[in-house]
Amino acid sequence: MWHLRLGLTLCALPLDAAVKEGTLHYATRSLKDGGVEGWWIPKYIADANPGIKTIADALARPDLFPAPEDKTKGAVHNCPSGWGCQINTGNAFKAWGAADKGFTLVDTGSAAGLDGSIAKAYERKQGWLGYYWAPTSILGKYEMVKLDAGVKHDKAAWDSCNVKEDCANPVKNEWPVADVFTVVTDRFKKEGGEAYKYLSSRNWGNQDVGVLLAWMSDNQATGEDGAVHFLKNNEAIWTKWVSSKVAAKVKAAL
Amino acid sequence: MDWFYEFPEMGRSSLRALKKAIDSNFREFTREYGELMEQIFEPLKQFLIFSENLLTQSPWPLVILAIAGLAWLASRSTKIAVGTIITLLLIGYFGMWEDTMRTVSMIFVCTIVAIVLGLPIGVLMSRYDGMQRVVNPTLDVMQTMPSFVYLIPVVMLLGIGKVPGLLAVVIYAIPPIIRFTNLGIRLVPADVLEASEAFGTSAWQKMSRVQLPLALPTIMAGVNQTIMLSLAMVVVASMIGVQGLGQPVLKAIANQYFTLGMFNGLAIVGIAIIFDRASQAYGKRLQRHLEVVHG
Repeated sequence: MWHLRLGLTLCALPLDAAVKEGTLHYATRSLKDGGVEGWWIPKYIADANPGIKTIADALARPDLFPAPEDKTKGAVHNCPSGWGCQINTGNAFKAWGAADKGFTLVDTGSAAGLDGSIAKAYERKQGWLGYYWAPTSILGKYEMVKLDAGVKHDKAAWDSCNVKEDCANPVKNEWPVADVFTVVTDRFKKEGGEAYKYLSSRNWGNQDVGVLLAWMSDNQATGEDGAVHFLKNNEAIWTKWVSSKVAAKVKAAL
Repeated sequence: MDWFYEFPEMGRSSLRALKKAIDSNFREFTREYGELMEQIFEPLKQFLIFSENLLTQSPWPLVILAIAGLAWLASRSTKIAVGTIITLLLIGYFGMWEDTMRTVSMIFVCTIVAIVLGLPIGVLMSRYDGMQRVVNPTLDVMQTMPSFVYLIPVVMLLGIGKVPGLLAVVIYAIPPIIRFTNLGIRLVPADVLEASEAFGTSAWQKMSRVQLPLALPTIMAGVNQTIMLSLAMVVVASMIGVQGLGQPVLKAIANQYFTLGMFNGLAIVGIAIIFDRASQAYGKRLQRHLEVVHG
């Protein structure tokens, strides 16, 4: 048996143990870019202001990202109360001194609130700055650009401070990329044949995943509908994952 | 006989097309009229922000004295005023002062809006049967439609924050006051109305001097329900970014912090009881002329 995606950070220790023993294997990195998180701005803002590439650049322009309740200030949209990202975004807000630069940290309340605020800003071509993660259907539907933190991910500082609520002096830190792998059992690796070859070469980027997720959410499609749509419209991508014989069979079946 | 066991549905692609058409038309609407709607609600938003700042930034002893003072003025009962002071002191001591002040400000405005809008509608409903036929189903929808269903379009039009929160709370909390006002006025005995007509009252005199005072017990029950339902919506409002006691409750739910949720829940209960006892005592004072007073 195989498992499509295992966010490694969620069960790293038991997985590593199993791989060492040889009962499980990492077939491949199924998401090329990994699970990406951080602060994003809409593409139309990034295009209109090519100077804004890092978090520090964005924080210099509170006028571009108005707060919903106070037009004189900028806003960084946080994720809902209780999520882990609320803590690391709050610490990033402190680390970059956003409050002094005229920004407030807006608690969006729930995933629906966060998604709703993005949808509203995008439909009306307004500025929006806040935390989000990829690949998701919202980012597939509304194209956004991730802001560079300007520093590399410092794991020690991250674990000891950025993810802790009461950290006194958080430092600027880039969000870690969550590795997403396809994991297979030992038996599947040995007996899988073509199927294993496919799984070990299947990887795709977050942009493609996002576009597919957005299509699925727009059309309220099931997983099967989504798979068929992907296969029909993305030959260039999936033919690389299988041999030409298999590709021909799949095309015939569609 | 397949159609007998499996419901003959509309056909997935036509259903999908229908949903997409409605969604995209709504998006067009938000793009065109979103700015206008935001401007219409701007004064209300400014008032809500002003009221919140007033409560959160004033020194806490003044706020406690002001709220206790209002409670005493409404009820003329030292017991209620002292109870108010103790409840607020406890809430502050357990670290929930700012959240409570935000909730009090928000819910106070929502309750006033609900009562100010609901009473006239209830009165009109009691006079015109046609209006009752139209308004009753609307109230049914307002009370049972899950809030998030109409909040998603509202958030797309107005963004997250206080105004969608106020809309959510008022939509949910206004039906009791409308229904109870309507009911209370209709329940005034016909012979009393006849007697008043025999004395030559005009329609306005009849309403203000006879019907409303006699309907007061029922109307006050409606006010009580409106207050309770407004406070019950605090958590839903916090799901669209309204700050206050709802946010720690959401945090507690996400992380299974039972005590955090319990404390904030009890603070909400405490505020509800203060609002309710004060308004009920005021209602009782208005009914001193009656023998039957609502319980």
